[in-house]
Amino acid sequence: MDLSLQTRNEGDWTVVAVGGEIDVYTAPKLREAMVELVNEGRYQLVVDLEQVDFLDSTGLGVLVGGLKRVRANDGNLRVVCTQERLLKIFRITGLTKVFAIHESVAAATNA
Amino acid sequence: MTTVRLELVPDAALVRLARLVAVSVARLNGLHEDTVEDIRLAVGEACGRAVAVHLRHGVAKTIQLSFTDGPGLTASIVDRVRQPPASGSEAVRLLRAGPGRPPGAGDVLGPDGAPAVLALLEGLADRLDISTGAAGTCVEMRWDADD
Repeated sequence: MDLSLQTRNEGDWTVVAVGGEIDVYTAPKLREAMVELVNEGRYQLVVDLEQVDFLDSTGLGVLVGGLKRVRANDGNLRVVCTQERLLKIFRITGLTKVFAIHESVAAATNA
Repeated sequence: MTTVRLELVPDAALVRLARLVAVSVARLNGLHEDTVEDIRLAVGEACGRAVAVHLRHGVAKTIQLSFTDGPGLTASIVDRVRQPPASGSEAVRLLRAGPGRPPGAGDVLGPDGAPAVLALLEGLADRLDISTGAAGTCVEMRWDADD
């Protein structure tokens, strides 16, 4: 399954809805999209992982890279995820302490 | 005991194929879906690491995977990039220190500073054995049969 990306604006936030599989093959596409958003001056990002079927460490690397880029511009990157199998990956790698993980886009943008 | 063997050229697009085979073998062996999901991720991580290290070193040889059942499942992923001979914690240390992590993963650190790939392999498999040598690196992971 390929990676799908849809971007929309909600107030001050840019929501990136990701679908499919984020792995060593598809992650560069997500990385490019996030770099492009930051280059456009969008520093308040919500990455919605609810439609993601698979996430590996390469995908985590892209999210960490995105977080660094927005923080360098006093921005924020919040994650939306309720899937236990994905949350487990965040936990094992210690990234639950790095990312603000929310149950919905509304919760992320209103936090 | 059944063994499924697979050889892949070092191409990131083929890591998904490795995951699909791993899931099929795990399900054929009757493992619980939670364990199947762990195997899917761990095999993908190990295979992605192997592909990355082959590409980084310009090694075109194939990466070898084998899955052996009963009871539980053993998956081994062998890359062909020369390393100093080591096993156990010394081999883990070598992999932590050296190249071979998928692009982008290097800046993801676990709570103890370990790269994410190794953190995931250690966290997902019931047993992890890594050995390195002139022939390459073998990552062997074992999952026990479900109770």
